[in-house]
Amino acid sequence: MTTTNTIKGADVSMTTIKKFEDTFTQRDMLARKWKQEGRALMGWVCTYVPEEIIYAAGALPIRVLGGAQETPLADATLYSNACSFIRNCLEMGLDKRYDSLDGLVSVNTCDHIRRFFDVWTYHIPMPFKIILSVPTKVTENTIRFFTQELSRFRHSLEEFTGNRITIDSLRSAIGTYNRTRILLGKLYEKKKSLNPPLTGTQTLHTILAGMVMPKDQYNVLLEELLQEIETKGSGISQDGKLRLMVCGSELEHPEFLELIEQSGGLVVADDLCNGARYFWGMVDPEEEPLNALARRYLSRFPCPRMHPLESRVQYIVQMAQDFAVDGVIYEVIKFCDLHANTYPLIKKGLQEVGVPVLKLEREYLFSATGQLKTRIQAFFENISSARI
Amino acid sequence: MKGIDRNMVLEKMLAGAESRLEYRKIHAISKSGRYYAEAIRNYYAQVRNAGEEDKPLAWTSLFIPVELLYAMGIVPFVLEQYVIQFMAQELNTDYLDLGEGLGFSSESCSPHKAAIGMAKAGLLPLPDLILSTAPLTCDSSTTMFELLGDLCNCPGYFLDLPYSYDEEAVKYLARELQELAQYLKDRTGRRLNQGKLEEILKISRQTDHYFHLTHQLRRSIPSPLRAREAFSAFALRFYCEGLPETLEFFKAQYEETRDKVERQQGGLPEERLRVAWFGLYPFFDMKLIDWMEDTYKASVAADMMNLLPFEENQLSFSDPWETLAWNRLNFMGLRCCLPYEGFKEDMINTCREMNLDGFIFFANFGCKQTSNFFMLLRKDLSKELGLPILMITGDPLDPRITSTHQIKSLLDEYFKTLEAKASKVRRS
Repeated sequence: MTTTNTIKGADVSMTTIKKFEDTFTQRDMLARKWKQEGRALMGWVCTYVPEEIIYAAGALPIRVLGGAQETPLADATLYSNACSFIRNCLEMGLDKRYDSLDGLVSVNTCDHIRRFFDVWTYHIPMPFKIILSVPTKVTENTIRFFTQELSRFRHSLEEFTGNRITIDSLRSAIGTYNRTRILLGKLYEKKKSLNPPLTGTQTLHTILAGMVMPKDQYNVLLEELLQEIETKGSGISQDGKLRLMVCGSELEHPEFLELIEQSGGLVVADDLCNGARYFWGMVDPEEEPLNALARRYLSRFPCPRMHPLESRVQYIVQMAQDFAVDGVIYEVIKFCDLHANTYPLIKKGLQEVGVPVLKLEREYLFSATGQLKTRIQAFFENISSARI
Repeated sequence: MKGIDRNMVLEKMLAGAESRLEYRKIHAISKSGRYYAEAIRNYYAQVRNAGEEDKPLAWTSLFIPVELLYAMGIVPFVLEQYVIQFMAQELNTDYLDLGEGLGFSSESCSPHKAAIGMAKAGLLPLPDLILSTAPLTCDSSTTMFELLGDLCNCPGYFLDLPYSYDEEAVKYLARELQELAQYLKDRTGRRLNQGKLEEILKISRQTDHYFHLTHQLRRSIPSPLRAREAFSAFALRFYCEGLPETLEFFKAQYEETRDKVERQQGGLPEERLRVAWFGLYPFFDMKLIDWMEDTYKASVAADMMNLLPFEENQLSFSDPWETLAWNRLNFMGLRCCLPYEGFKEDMINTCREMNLDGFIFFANFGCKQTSNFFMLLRKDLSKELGLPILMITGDPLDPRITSTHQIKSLLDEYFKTLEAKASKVRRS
């Protein structure tokens, strides 16, 4: 699969992106290697898990993602209305593809992820397992409670790993993770330009790699990427391509964005948990670490589990405007009530500022490309003709 | 839908409750039956009269503690319960389609779809406030309240429920409840009557006590209640928790049930099989449940009223907020929205005590969390108790998902197996 040359007629290849792609593709092998080096591996399921605490315990946080082409084992275990993301992740677990994990860390994000934790830990013995209660709104009371939850998490991790998680180690982890956020922020800032340096496909490769490798090593690669962009100078010529934002459910298949970009779009912004929602918003390094983490994770770029939804609408509209997008593609994994049911309000918010939206229902695995392509092309034609 | 407005719907619901009450008075139906009808009638009347009496009307989700609203003189309109009752009487799927048409997912829970449809059609009394819990009960419910807030131009308030059940969770929820009370005061100008709250909590404590006593009596052989009688508690506790008429009903129901048990009188004339029915019922055709009980002489000895995990209401906390928080975390099965590990033993033990021959799970296709934990419970029940399990995929309001005829066929086949198994046991 070649994903580094996604835009017809434009040279968008990048050496560093290839490294990110390779890291993600070889993540199982790399994880085993890191484990052999003596680091405990902690699988985490959702971007509301504060990885910094795992990192501060000397363990390596690795995002649990899918990757199976078929899900027979998970199908026999889950009811038919479970979303295909958790179904695929569970398949990987049941198929012993996550055998190197020492633990599973989850949160109460949505109906699917809550039950995923139950089903996973029921069927797959885990030396360490925890599900954190993440509040759904930002107030001083919810921050206080989440801080207590993080303290519980910290103590259980200390007990499990035998490593003390000190204030200094937390501050150091926060520093490393904040560095990632700064570097990714710089990258996204460049995507605001008329000639963005990366395609959406390349951006997704970049973010995914960061979820499965040590952040200190990742930061080095990010620096390298930014340097490469500087050296290269010119970005991607827009040349009639539409600037787009992609919003919605879990998306880890660069092919999906590639399809959009091959159809005449250029994804310059996103509201994805494998995108902006992952790194947007810094942890205050001056505040007491657990409190600061609680505050950041609750007040980051919100996913639709957070209330009131108005805040999420504002984030999306603001981003669409800041990145000067011509349209938004809103993708929803089947059975995802959170993303599906909040669509009418997101659409309304975007339409109020004149941004057209296309909703695409999909399964976690990339499929039905013909249908998708037709709908995307029709959407682009509508935008283009409206401009004329 | 044409020609109906929000007042007419409410008046119709009220008139229905009135006529049920009259019928029960005339036909000397049990004391509890009359109290029930009276309490439901009073509830609809207070919703209708809220405007006239200058009381704010708050749309609430199932797990907002109505006790607090009653103590502040605010009328709770328990939306999901009202929609279920309305839809069960109307048998009209148009509102489901309208909800979907407005962008609510076809895969979401049907009462939520219907609520969006009914709100759009102008069939619900207008809210002064919208109060929901999050992230529980479920994603479908919380997103519905977000959409309704927009449709009704009334901002929503979300009470955060912890995903844990311990001392910290109680304390956290207690603080959340205090913040809710402050919000209600700011929005309505109504002050909390502390004495009234404490009185309501006392009534709630007694209600809860009688409720559990009654449903524990269902382990008797024969089981003393029919499925519908047992399930009637559902609406009343959600609508009117903490009110004297609610206590009156549950006390009477307990006394009547206890007398039946003492007389060894079952809910059915003859009991041959005992089953659990988990999940909601197909409300679009409750005669189906009567048919099942009568045809197979099968008592529903366990259902959501006694299978769901709980600890009895407390009054022992030093402050009423913690009492309210504790009670809410144990209210009507909220704990089965928490991690499976925390309640599986309770459910298995209850099934064991009930002497069941079978277990039926009516899986609401829109309910992701119940159906997915049931996949685990199913394994555990088979392993621990060897119970034959029937899982029916359906919808409580929409017969287009699985029709009466289809459900009947599944039940027929299942009960024939149970009967064969039971007669084999009797022979041996």
